[in-house]
Amino acid sequence: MSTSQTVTVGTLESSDLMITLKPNNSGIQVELESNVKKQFGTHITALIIETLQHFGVVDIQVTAVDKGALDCTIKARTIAAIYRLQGKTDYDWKVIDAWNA
Amino acid sequence: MMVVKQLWFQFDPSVRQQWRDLLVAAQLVPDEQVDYTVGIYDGAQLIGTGSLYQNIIKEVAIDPTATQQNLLAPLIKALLDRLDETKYESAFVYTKPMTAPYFEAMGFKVIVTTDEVSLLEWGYPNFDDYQAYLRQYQRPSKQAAAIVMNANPFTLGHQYLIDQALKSSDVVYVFVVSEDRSQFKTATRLAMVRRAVAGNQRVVVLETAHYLVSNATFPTYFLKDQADLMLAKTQARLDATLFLTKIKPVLAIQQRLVGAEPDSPVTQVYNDQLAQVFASQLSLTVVPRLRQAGQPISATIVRQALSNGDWATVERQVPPINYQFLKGS
Repeated sequence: MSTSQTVTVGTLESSDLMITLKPNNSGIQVELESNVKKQFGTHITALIIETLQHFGVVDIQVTAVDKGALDCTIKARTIAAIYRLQGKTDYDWKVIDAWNA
Repeated sequence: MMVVKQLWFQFDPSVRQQWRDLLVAAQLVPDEQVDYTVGIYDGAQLIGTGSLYQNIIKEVAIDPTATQQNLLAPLIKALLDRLDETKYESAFVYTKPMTAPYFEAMGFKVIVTTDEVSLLEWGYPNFDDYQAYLRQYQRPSKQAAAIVMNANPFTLGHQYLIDQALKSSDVVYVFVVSEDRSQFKTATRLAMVRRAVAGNQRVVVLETAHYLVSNATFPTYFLKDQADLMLAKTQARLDATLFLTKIKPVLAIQQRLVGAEPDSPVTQVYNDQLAQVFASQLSLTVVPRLRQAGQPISATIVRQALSNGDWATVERQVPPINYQFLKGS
């Protein structure tokens, strides 16, 4: 990834997730803030990493502030952030379906 | 129905009054030095507000009767969105320790807390990055000293402070204030210091980023004459605590040197707070002001001389290498 800028996607409302991505050179690092971190922290982190990997993102610093988001929201916010970071506007949401194939 | 919108209190007396009343109700001092303000309305009533000054979030208040509605999240998000639009990638908030957890729940991280205030930040680069930067420049030392200077411009007085530090220490870290609020630009001030100490392997010149004497840690420092000294005290305490707990350990600093400041009340407050906060944990040396032919050496005098075109005074007060530089610019 050539760009060095940071992007933030999402809100701090209930059931949402605010995710910030910043390219780095030291793999995928996720910092999670969530009031359900104890119960779902590992799951949320894994889901974010999995989503990033589907897009071939390997070097990224992630800060996620979760307000009780469902899996679909977590994925959607992560994907939107990746697209924004890459400067893409032609979102291909069907890519999510392809993961199940 | 709740609406979040930008407030133009500067142009509308009724909005200004509402805004001031809300801040006072939340026990804050209405401070109009802000770039951008948002408000949350419930009908015609203003029930929440928050402002930005550069990338510092300030003047955040929620109507005491509306604190159950989680208004802080949309308010802070609106401010973060504004920062995003204006190309800032990080934010600071300066708040009461009691309210820090609300900001932590929104992804802010505490940099430092005193009994009175907490400083938190959001985004990148952050304090971890700054500590990593410092680690890069760390030198093995038996006795390391630190000096923080604005060097606006670098004078023989600054030079003297460094020389004094070199007498008792094997490594001297010189932190040059990164905040761009002085007559000389940050890059120029940094260049003047680097030039003056060039060739001395025992002196390491560092940037302070946002973490020492900055708009975030110590904004009143830049106001000098008009500064509110009580406010300056609170901020100086925070700045000193940050240095003691988060910077000193990274570089194994054992001594900090400051110049005596008989004429500047704000710097005097700063020096006092450094002494109090460091207490037995870090030694503070106050170096008397260097005098020359009965006249103190001072950056203020140099700035005055420069504006009067009095090059003889400038030449007496700054190192030759910086004199050439000032003359050439």
